[in-house]
Amino acid sequence: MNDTTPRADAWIAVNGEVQPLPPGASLADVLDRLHVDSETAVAVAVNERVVRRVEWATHRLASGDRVEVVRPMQGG
Amino acid sequence: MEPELERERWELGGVALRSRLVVGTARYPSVQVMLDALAASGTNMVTVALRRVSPGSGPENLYRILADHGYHILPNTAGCYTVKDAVLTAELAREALGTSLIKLELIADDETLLPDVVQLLEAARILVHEGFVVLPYTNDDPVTAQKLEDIGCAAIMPLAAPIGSGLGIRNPHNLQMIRSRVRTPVVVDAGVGTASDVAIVLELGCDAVLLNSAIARAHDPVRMARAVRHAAVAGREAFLAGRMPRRMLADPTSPMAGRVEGSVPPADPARHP
Repeated sequence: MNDTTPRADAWIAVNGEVQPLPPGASLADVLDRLHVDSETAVAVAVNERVVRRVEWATHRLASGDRVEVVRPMQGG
Repeated sequence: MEPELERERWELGGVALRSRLVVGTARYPSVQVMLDALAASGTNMVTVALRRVSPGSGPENLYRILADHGYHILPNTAGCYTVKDAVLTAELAREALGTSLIKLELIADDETLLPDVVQLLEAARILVHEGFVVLPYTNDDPVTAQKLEDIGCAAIMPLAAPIGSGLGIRNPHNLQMIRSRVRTPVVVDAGVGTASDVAIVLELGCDAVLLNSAIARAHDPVRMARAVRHAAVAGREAFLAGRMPRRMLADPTSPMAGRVEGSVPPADPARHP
């Protein structure tokens, strides 16, 4: 769902948490803030589509994007 | 380590294994106990879940720890209630871990954690089409098992009892029927409570057991891991050995001829009133 409500500032939701989106920010910039780098076993989806690791640096984010960053955890 | 225990090789989802145990990595008192228990179980394949990286916290590298210990990693879609979430989680798992293996779980409700087989079949179809090696967690229903095999799943993983219940093998007949009706490996997943449950599953001819709480929630997880390892070997060997036929009445083990004179069985009151 795209949020079309006019907003003063650009924003994104990262793992459900709304945060400001700096102009021109790439997915890699957002992942830096989570201390996620290309060495880590994580995966990322933007608006429920997986964004491959090789595209992180070039993937520009738009206001209202929902970013999911997941990693393997203990599970059964 | 007792590497000589498992002498047979088998294959699950294209991965060559020796151990008949797939072991979960959750609910251990510590990472060290988890690693010690995994080693004691002799397993070659372990499961992981995928969860959000929390903002501000650096990710612990569970993947690296498990991979460095040489385990094959089987990600799951635990906690998914919809086809959409399960498919996305599988796609994220493939991206994060570089594996097409997926333990497909589609849960109906929180209280029972029983599989929603209608959604399971749909998600399995999508994921098989996307090239995943799908290992579905399902009910102990032979009809659903056959449908999952027809879709192209690489194994069938019926439950023994609800997840985390430790209730043991509730319906051995259904598990046996599933085993006799599908060609893929049958891995009994969920509900195992202790070592004898593992032995029973393998004696029935099922190919493997996936367990987690039975080890992790035991008073001594490492000791229980060793116990289930021996149970798995014992169950598999007993299956291969072929059990004796069951009889309704006794069959004397010692020869009846040449007994001491005077040893006459008492009259059967039912036959000689």
